[in-house]
Amino acid sequence: MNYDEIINLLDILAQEYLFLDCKDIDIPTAGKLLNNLENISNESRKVNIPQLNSCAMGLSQVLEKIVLDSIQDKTKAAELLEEGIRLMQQIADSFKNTGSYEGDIQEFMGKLAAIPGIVISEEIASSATESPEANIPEANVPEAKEEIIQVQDESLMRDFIAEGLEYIEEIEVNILNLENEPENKEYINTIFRPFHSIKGVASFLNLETIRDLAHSLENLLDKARNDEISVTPALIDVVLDGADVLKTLIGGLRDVLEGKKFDDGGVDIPSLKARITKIEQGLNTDSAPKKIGEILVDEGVISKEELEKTLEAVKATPEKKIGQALIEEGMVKPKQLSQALRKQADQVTDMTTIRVDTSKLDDLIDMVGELVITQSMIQQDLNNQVNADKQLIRDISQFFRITSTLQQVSTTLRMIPIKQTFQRMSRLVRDLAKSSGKSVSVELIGEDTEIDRNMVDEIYNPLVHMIRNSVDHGLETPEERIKLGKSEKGLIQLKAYHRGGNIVIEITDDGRGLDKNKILQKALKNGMIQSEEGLTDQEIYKFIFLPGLSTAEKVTDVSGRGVGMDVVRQAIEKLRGKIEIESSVGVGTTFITRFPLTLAIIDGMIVKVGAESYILPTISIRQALRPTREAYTNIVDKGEMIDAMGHLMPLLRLYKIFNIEPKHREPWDGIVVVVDSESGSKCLLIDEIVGKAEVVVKSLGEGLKNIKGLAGGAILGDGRIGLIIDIEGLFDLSDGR
Amino acid sequence: MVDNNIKILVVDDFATMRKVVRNLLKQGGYEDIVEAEDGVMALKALKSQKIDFIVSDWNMPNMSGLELLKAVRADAELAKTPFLMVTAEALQDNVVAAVKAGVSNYIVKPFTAEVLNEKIKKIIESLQK
Repeated sequence: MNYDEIINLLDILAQEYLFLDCKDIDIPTAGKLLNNLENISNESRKVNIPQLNSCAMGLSQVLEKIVLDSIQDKTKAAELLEEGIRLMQQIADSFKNTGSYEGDIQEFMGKLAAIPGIVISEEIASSATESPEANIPEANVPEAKEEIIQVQDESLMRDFIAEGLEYIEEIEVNILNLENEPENKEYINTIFRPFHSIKGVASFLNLETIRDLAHSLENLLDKARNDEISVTPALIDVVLDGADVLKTLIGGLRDVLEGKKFDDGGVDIPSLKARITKIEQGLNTDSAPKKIGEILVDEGVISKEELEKTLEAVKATPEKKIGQALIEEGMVKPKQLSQALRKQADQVTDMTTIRVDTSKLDDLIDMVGELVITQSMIQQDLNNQVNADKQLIRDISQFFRITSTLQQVSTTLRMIPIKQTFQRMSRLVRDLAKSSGKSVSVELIGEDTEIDRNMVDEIYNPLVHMIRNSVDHGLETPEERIKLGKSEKGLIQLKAYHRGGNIVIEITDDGRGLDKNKILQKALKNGMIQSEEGLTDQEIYKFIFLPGLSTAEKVTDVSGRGVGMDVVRQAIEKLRGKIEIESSVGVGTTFITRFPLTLAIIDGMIVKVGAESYILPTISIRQALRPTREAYTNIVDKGEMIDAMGHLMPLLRLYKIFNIEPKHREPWDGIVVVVDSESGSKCLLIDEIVGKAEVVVKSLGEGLKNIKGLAGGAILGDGRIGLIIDIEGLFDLSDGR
Repeated sequence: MVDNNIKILVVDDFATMRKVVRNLLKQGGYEDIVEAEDGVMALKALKSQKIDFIVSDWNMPNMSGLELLKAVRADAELAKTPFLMVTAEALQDNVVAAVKAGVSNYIVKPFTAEVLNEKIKKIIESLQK
């Protein structure tokens, strides 16, 4: 063992200590000492000197108390620190020389334990992170309240009213989020903070009622944040009610400023506070979780008699909690209590769900995919055998049923309701409405529709963009709406449902609708079309997704739409999704987006070129045909073209791009598949179409990550490998980009 | 004699609270005061102008007082800047964390102008020693 590091640390500690005056403590020095003690404690655990660890942790507790100014006898504390440092040096020296320490540290630890508030227990020796403080009656914080200044600053008061009310609004919005996601600590934080700030300022302004109420709500939330209590509907209710009362109280200050009598609006603060206390103690009568005492009895930590006795004693001092009392009585160790508290919190949380790392799910789904493929290979082998065992065939078909159910179940594992996304959207609509001076209500339909967890984040941005468009440009201002005989309040409807293996999300507004003529004019002007004849409404609306029509500011005035819609389309197509528009002037517009339920499985068409199999994403395929010899033209500067459906489209020979030997070299011998991408449509020359299949997308591995034209690989039903074609990348490749 | 001619950065997300601190500082004769509404803004201010003293709240969105303190201490140029942490109550864990991170001192809300200015004075004096 090498003890030099410890001895070195101890030397530094002793040196630093020389500069410390416990009666008038210098905080930065104390900080250095505390860090040093922590290092010593860590180091001594590493080289296995438990005595040293205990001493270091005991000393840091003493030092912490000095920093907090909660030790009466500072001379004594200083003596103990000095003695402790000397003792630690002795221990370390002894270990260095003899490899052990025969002396006794119990006497010294006893002296430390004699200081009120210092807890010396085995836990201290074993774990550094366990903080016994949480269970100890709060340290005697110096009362700074005696000489509160009278800030009778009127402007300050006005600021406080304005800002305070704003903060409460923030609380209201965030608490709804918390209700949806009670586990999310960040939401608790966003609610905690405003209460905290209100409390802080109220204490300066001498507004005791407000300060007290904000303080108790803050404490309540702090407990929730530290998992001491769980976020129940009752807690949400009481926080909302508390926010209401604070609103009334702060609003009432305005009257006070104007010299009127303060009107508290008849709020019943004592009963509210009683509710807070009740929830704080985990006494949620609705679901009646076990009380902490009962848990401790169940665990065999204390006996029933002991519990009852303590409960009696606690009745005399209602502000004291049972756990505290039990610790003071020495019946329960802090660690046991905190374990019991955790247990109590666990009961309340919903046990029907667990959190699983998504990468584990991905692995599982991956393996199930392999299983399905393997079993279909076995089946094929079996079918090829003439004298197959009947029993074996039966068993295999049973196996087949199980695997396919397993596959179905495993794909649903990653599915979560779209609710959360929708709720974020409705919040966004509210914010947007506020900033644009419109009044908008949101309607959510099909919130329980499920979607792959991995898709949720991906679809968020395009959806936000479309909603922004609907609110900003789709909806009229309240004045216009009244003039048009519509209700003043606009409506944004978000709707989700499953259709044909896709999730469909519709965003509908009841605004002005798209103006076809103006879009056409713009498209003509930009040279996107030569004439407006023969275009369907759908085709016209689609122009707003083209870059030329959407970026210009003027377009917004013309069509009422268009800010960055090309970006939206790109994002949606990247997710293998599709977007459509329905609109009628004066009635409103609907964006209909379709996304695959998951990115892990692709709906594809298996095609062959020579001996190789490729998978084309079905969503990009428009049609397949065998062109006549006449449909083929070779145009100078543009290359080979095929006339399909009356449109000339560039021809890509897959065998040339991938450099393989095909069966058919000419389009009229093989098959041509028309595929779409955002940059246009092209024809792919292949040998034959094998069939349609849902395949599990597999990455090609780290080394082959960014191959242009290929989106990944998949194992096909016959056990062979097919490469999935990335249409966009393929087009880039053929254009020499 | 402490020089009152220092630039103090007051960090708090609550504007009213910043005003309170500003008023209290003025009573101590400090006039040159900059405000920031969270740790991120504070760091920006620290990078763009010379600041002699930081008075920061503990609990703020984006970047808490503790994170700000750590960032300041980790920055070679700013590391020596005196840092007074304002906390709502003297929670042992919080205070200890701040002390370990190298805070110059801490102060518990609500406080008077005397207490605040006394703490600032002491911190500056100890630096001049």
